Amino acid sequence: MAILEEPIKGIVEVKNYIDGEWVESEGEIQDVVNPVNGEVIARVPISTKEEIDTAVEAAKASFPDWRRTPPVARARCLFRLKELLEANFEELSRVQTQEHGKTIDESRGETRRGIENVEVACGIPTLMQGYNSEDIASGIDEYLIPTPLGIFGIIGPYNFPFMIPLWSAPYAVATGNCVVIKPSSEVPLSQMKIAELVDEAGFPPGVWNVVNGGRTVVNGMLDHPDIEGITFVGSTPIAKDVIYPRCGATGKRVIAQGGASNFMVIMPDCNLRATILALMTSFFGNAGQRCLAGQNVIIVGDDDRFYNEFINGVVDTAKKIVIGNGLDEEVQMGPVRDTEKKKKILSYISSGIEEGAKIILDGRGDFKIKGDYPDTCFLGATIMENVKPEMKIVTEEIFGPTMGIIRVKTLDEAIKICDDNPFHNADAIFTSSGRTAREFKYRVKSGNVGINIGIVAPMAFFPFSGMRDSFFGILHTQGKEAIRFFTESKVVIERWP
Amino acid sequence: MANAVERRRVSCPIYHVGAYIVKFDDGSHVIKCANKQRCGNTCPYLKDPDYKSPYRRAPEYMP
Repeated sequence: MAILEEPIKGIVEVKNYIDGEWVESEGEIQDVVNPVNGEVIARVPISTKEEIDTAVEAAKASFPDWRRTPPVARARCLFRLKELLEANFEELSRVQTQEHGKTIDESRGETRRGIENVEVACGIPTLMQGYNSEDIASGIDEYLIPTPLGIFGIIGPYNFPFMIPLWSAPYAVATGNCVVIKPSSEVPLSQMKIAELVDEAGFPPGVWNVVNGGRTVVNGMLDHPDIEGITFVGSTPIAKDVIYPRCGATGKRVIAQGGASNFMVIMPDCNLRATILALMTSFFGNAGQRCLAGQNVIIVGDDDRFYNEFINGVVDTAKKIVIGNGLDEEVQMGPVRDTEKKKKILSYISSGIEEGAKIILDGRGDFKIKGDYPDTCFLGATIMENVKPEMKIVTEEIFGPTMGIIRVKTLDEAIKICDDNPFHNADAIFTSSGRTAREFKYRVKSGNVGINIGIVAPMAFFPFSGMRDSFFGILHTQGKEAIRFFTESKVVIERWP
Repeated sequence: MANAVERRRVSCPIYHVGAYIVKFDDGSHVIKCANKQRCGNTCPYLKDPDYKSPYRRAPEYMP
């Protein structure tokens, strides 16, 4: 099958989008490399503190007018954006594949999930309604008005360059706030494309700004007194030790989503075929670079026949995964984002072996790449057994295409392993017993719980949850919680004597 | 007038939206999809109501 046409041809010079204009940065320039073939596809600026300050000034100037724009008129801008995103669906998807490496099907799924957030935010006239009580005392009424706060900073990760900023931005602008988005400097093109469509959709200048860069931009956002809040998705060390405390120190609202080490609990009564297929996408989809990806399987019970059948099925299936260029529609797993990330994944596999895990499928070299591509960023699926809960490959986030297999005797032991882990992002159980599923759902301390679901990804109208070291804050992105996060409750008590 | 013999829900692999394929006893079929206008002739189900994406979400596994 032919490889789909690349939408990015040549080298794109990425600019910042500030106050409705494309502005060149004074900062250093960094290459954006397609991980499939190592080709430079763009150059992105590492913007300066002055540039983030300019973007915040633009947003500050636009806020009063945008806040006064009726929600129904703000929703019209979002409706236009949604239509433009649909019209450019395929191009947006291919850009993600080109800059990140994921397969085109994964990119199309990401585009759809991103657009769904814009769709939900289009309902802002009703989503943002307050409530009231008549006659709280004789002749006195009281009501609540959700009001926008001002300017929000949105910091995106590299693994979902298109979708993740859309967990926040549509809700922020729909509620009357202005945003400054900092995409990951490794994958800035998707947010650049969205900003082009935002411009075409007719948002007023300064409402939606994009400033590319790294640490300086993040620090600029965290320290800026006019930024009311930050949403961040990235690693736990940054979320926990930088974003969350600094927002606390500067009095900002915060949603800081960190890493994960998710468990898939397998009961012997599960539907084996369906379970194995679900595990393939959970562990190896997006090359494992997903905070909802499974990292370890916990097989419950001492039925050796089931255990062997499961292991053989998983290994046989994982071996057949087609690895290559994500723009080839037959490819099922693309490369990891860059060589540094590959090195980190390899070091985790080595540490697993050193701590006693046994490799039963080695993705470090035992795989074929479809097409003529260097193996620089590619990895095959790796499966390890004899994994123990205290190993680094369980207690830390790997973020790669690996599966560890832990064996326990009872569901209680499985739940204890889930609960003792520092991360609590997403855990799932595979069973045909409603009672077992309920017990797991009730007891497991996890932000997103799956029952016979491998990737526990909440839809746009539900919050993207997370607990403990996977999430720092109170309210979450997406849906009604995002509306709460981006608004302050103003309570009015009224008497007309 | 042809009678409907099969009504099937499909998940479009191109736009990741749900659609319906209705097959009739005279061999014809129609696609009920919210994205129909946008996709026009590029809809893979137009030519083949049983179209399957070359990408499958996971390799086949037969125990």
